[in-house]
Amino acid sequence: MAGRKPAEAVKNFLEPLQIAASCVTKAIFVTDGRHKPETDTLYTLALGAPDPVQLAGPHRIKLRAVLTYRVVRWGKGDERGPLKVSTASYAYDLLSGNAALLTYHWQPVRRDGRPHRVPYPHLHLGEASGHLLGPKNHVPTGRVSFEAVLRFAIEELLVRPLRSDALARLARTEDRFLKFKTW
Amino acid sequence: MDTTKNGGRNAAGRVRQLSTDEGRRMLDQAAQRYLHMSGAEFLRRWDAGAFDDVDTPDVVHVGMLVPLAR
Repeated sequence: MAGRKPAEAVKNFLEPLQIAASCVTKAIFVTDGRHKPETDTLYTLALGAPDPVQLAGPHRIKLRAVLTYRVVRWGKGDERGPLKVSTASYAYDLLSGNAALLTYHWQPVRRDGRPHRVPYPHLHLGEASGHLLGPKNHVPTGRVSFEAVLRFAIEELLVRPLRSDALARLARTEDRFLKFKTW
Repeated sequence: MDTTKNGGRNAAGRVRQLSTDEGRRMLDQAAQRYLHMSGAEFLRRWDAGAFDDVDTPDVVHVGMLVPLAR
């Protein structure tokens, strides 16, 4: 994902994604940032738009994916520099027929530049998940902090916290975890 | 819009550059397909902040296509 010039960094970012997509579909990503990209400008990359991509298999799974990215300057001497592409947001959807199955979201910033209501990476279970997913499936999520699980239980499963400052306390302990985690 | 054609070389990592006109058509078709409104109507509501706190898969998907139409 690194490069000496913006176009090289973008090429090195896009190619592996397209190669990955080619493992399951002949569809290609489209982007507004392939020709003469500039640093610090937000570009969009989309697959399965406007129509989701039909994948092979018994459950007739469909795929759509959109992500945004920008070319940023990186530290001198770092093998990932001097320019690299940084992902700014993503939305990856797996559908069963026309019903949502799983949706992976990460949008830290809203349209108006303010922090998003849900700024951390998260997973939506769609309406089709009930009949296709169960305890034998292993849904990839990335590493999730203990605090994130507790916050989810409080905010979305309506678990009653024992302290009025529970969310602030979770934010503080999670911050320490994030600062010192090694993987 | 057929995104399956690129000289059959997708496995080589080719990604297609999208023009703004193509982006507008893509947004319009996605907005109609998923949200039953035109792309222009979606953009109007998007700019008014109507979707700022909406986190449903279809709205987020269409919203992320907005920059391709501008």
